Amino acid sequence: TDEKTATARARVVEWCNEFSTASPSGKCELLVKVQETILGSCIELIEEFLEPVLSLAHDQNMEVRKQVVAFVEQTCKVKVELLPYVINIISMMLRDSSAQVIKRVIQACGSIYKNGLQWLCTLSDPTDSAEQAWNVLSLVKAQVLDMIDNENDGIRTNAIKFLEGIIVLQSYSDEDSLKRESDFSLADVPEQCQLFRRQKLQEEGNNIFDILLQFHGATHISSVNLIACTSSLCTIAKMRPVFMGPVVEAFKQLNANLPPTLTDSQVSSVRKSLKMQLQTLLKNRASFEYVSSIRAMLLDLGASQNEIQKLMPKMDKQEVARRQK
Amino acid sequence: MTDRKKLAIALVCSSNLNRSMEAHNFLAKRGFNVRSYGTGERVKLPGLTFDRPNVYEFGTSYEDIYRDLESKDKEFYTQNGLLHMLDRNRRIKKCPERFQETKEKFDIIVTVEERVYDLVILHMESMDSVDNRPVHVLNVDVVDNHEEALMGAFLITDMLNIISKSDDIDNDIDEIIQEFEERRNKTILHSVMFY
Repeated sequence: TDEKTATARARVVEWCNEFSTASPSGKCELLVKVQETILGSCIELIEEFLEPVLSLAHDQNMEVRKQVVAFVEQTCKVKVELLPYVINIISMMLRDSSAQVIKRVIQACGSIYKNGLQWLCTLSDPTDSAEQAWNVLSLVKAQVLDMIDNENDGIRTNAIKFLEGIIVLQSYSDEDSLKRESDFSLADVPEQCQLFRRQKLQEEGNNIFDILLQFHGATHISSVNLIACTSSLCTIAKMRPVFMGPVVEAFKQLNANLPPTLTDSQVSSVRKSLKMQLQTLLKNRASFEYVSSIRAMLLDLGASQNEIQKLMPKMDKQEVARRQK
Repeated sequence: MTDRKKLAIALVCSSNLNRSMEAHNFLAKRGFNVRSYGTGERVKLPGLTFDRPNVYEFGTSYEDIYRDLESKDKEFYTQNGLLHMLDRNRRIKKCPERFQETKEKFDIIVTVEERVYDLVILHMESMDSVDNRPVHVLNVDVVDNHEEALMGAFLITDMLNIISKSDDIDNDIDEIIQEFEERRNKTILHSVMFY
């Protein structure tokens, strides 16, 4: 109702006025209140208050800047049409001086990219600002891709997880794909989409997958990065079985040649993680043609024949024959 | 230094009675933002005979478990320390909680045995990550008895003290763990998962 909006507006105005005098933690609390009020129940006010909130992206305190990222992330979930107004800030904040802020931005980029892509797909006659938003979104993607070589281990870990999402979005699912409720694949991109073509997105996704494979196989990869990357590759193979072959091959290489820089306990952690990922791959029907490789690796990693047998999906003779072709 | 109040920590054992609660008690007193859980199907405690443990559903209050054991054999359960442990627990929180059922998100999850670590990882892996927010899962082996739980709590507190001194935990954690392992002569399993 108008009255409810008016009351909310008055409160938000007051909070925004307090931004300039509040302490860093006070600013964070005010931002949370503004976010809860506007994005929770009074979305009609968002455009009016976007500017004072986004101006805090330049605040000296990193916790305040991280809170701005949370606000933008939530805005794109609630009203993705505002992407053109917020995406530049995201690109800018990926160059923040603080690794903590950059990591928070990369995390947010996962859902912002997905929501943005889904929305832009629906536009039959995109405006200039929508086109511009797509350009910046593509830039953001390239910025995060670059960060896979960042000197900060945590930034690299977050970049890996973001790239996993991009590969899943920019490829096709098939009958064996692990079904997830919110899945979005290239099949959901209209053939006549004005802003981008399926094929180009697919090629880009394939390139990013190759980069992730290379990263996974690097000799001096850190233990944390390796575990994150193994898990990402496994998710990709389960959701997009077209990648199953190269992923099984990458795991084979890893199992045969663990990075020499790992300590004994890191080796235990990596082997344990690899074993679990292989077990979940084995449950996926798409791993059918790679069963012998996966079985050999699992035996090497300490799984029993019986354990392995139990994991394999049941298939009738007809299906086995069809898959053997 | 990372603000220890802002670092969300979970301590996980099987039944959320002994090892995770001893460490919960320690860390909470030192200002950490900590929760504790069990990964078992049910809460299990030794019974009057070896083959008949006391079994409760997660969510049964420590108070109720205390009263139940007290009514069964107060002297026996006083002597073996269970009533004392439950008395400590009911002063910390209401009931044992199951890790697989929590909606809470953490920065660090510490488990106390390999089987618990595996169950935590398996559960995290089965969830669809939405926020892409990383969490470090660490395992420190602690034998399940009163004395070892106390030693384990010292050890976990020491490790988290060092971790919380870092300005950038994600970047430093590999080195921190290595140094800790060498100093304490312990093996720590470590993995990163995502919410």
